[in-house]
Amino acid sequence: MTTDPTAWSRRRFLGATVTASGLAVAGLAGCSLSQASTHDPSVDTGEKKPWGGEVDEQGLAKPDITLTDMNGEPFPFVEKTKGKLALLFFGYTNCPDVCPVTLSSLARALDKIGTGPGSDPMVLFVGVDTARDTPEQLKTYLGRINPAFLGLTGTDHQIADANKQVFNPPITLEPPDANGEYAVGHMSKVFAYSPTDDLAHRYYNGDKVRPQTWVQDLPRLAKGQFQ
Amino acid sequence: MIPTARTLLAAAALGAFLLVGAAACGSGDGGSASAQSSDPGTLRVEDATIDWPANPTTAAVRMVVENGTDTDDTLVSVSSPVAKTTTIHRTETDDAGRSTMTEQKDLPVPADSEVTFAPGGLHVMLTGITEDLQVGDEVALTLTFEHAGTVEATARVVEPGSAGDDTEGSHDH
Repeated sequence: MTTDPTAWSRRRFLGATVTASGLAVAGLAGCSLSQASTHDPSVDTGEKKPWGGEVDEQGLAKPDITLTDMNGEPFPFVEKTKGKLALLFFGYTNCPDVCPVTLSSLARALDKIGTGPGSDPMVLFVGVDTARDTPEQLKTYLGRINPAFLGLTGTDHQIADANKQVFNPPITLEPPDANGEYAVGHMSKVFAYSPTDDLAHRYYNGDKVRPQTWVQDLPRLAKGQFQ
Repeated sequence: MIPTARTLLAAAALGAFLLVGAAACGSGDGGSASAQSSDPGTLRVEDATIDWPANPTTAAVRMVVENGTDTDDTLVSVSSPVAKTTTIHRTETDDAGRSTMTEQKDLPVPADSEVTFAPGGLHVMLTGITEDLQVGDEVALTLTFEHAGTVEATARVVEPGSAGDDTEGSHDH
């Protein structure tokens, strides 16, 4: 196994004195293994590829509500998303698993799509944990994933209303632990609103969707297709 | 059972820094992701990764805990010097369809089996992260098992989603 010496100089080992060359080797070995199986799929949007997520032929309406975006501007949802491919997801910024996995998967897919249909959906992340998901926090969080993603906030009542309008079960706040940390129960569906009729005909359980699925589906969704 | 686990947990917290220091001067085998164990080569941690966190204070560790021994074991705690708290979680879907997380206080690691920490399933949540983690960083972890004792491991900080590319298709759902 060959290693690139230039990669070593950037590595930091956190948590112990930096004599842990054995550990670093172990870490790098794991790295090579996992990267070997990462294939870079071509951006083939052949119509016969299977769809990800689930279909809703009838279609789900948009939440008819005005939220506030992370820049402090009003965000009348229906008006702002009209005629656009919009992906709506409710989550929270202290979520360690489902939310970052969902958003990162989308971000990776958009990197792979590059340009053309499906390359610039509106990705709308509603921060349901209003105490911690401040506009600033949303900006920092989404800025580190994809600066084009837009964070939305509002009062607890507005967010609960938007959540209810898409038939998500109510948001739950778990009791805080000794350090004041708490988990938030939330639906992990990503709703894909069609640019053609402004209804969501397809939704995805975000953390189960691989980037390649988005690479296949987003260009089709951008054309108003859903099955 | 519970008092034992509590004791071990406390011991792990106290001993974490000493053990990390000791590990740094030891193992040079380079053959596996685990470095130090009371029973080397038999209970191991493989492929430990941390997605570069979008929220700099909160992250999740994915890994495979491989129990090659013939003894059922239990993972009672994980600690890392870079985080104020670490919690073993399982992401679950409740009856209403919500994603929730349940703390796994004593996680069984049966004899001759692997337990995979993968997106949408198990993860070790790090909170109160004190370092500005960057892709390529190596983060020390100390896992404490009921029988095997402490096992040191190193988690690599990786591009978000890159570990998921490999594991999403294989974890059990």
